[in-house]
Amino acid sequence: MPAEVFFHNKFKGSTARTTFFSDYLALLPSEDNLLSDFIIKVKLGMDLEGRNKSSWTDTNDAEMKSLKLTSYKLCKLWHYHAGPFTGLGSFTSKNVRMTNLSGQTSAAVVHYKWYDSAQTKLVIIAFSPVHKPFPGANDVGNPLSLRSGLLLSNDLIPA
Amino acid sequence: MTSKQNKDDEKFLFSRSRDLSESDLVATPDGQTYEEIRAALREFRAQAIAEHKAKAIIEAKLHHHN
Repeated sequence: MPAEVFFHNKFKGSTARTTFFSDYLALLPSEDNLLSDFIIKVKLGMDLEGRNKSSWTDTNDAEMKSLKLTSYKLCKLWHYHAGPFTGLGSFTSKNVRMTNLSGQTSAAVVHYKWYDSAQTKLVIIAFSPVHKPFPGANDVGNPLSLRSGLLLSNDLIPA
Repeated sequence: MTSKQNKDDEKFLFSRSRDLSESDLVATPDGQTYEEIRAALREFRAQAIAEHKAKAIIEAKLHHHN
């Protein structure tokens, strides 16, 4: 089933880049190609060959009991291994709405979440040129939690 | 995990989450086929880069005049 794909406006309009995160305007051409391939396949409802999973679970789909992953669970963040792939070994392809732990792994990862519970609108939050498994929510340059809707307690002003 | 990391994580634990709103979203271009969408995305990116450059030039000029 196809889905609409959106960029988070801060991802689309920013040039920030670190080793582990890059915004849209700072993507290298090869990275833009990987991101585009993901977007197109989601829009057309095609199966995806990369590993696809929630960001607060391990490779066995078990929840990680880690404080630093709490925000990813609250924000319902997922990530997809976008390639390039070696194509070696056996792997499975699945629709983006399904966990695919047997998909191919890669350095590059697309971070996303669903806008609606019906999973018709997918929002791209960030892109990792190099995948750092379970990055800390407060790691330098990590935009994942804040762009996914989480407010820091420091951001709240008592009325 | 260090005590500093623990404190940082607590900031999230004691936060409250909100949903994204429509104003957070930018639609990506559509098409009927893989190649059509690929071409539309290339154009979309070129335009985004051009808009960013134009904005940077304007901001630099404003900064120069201030």
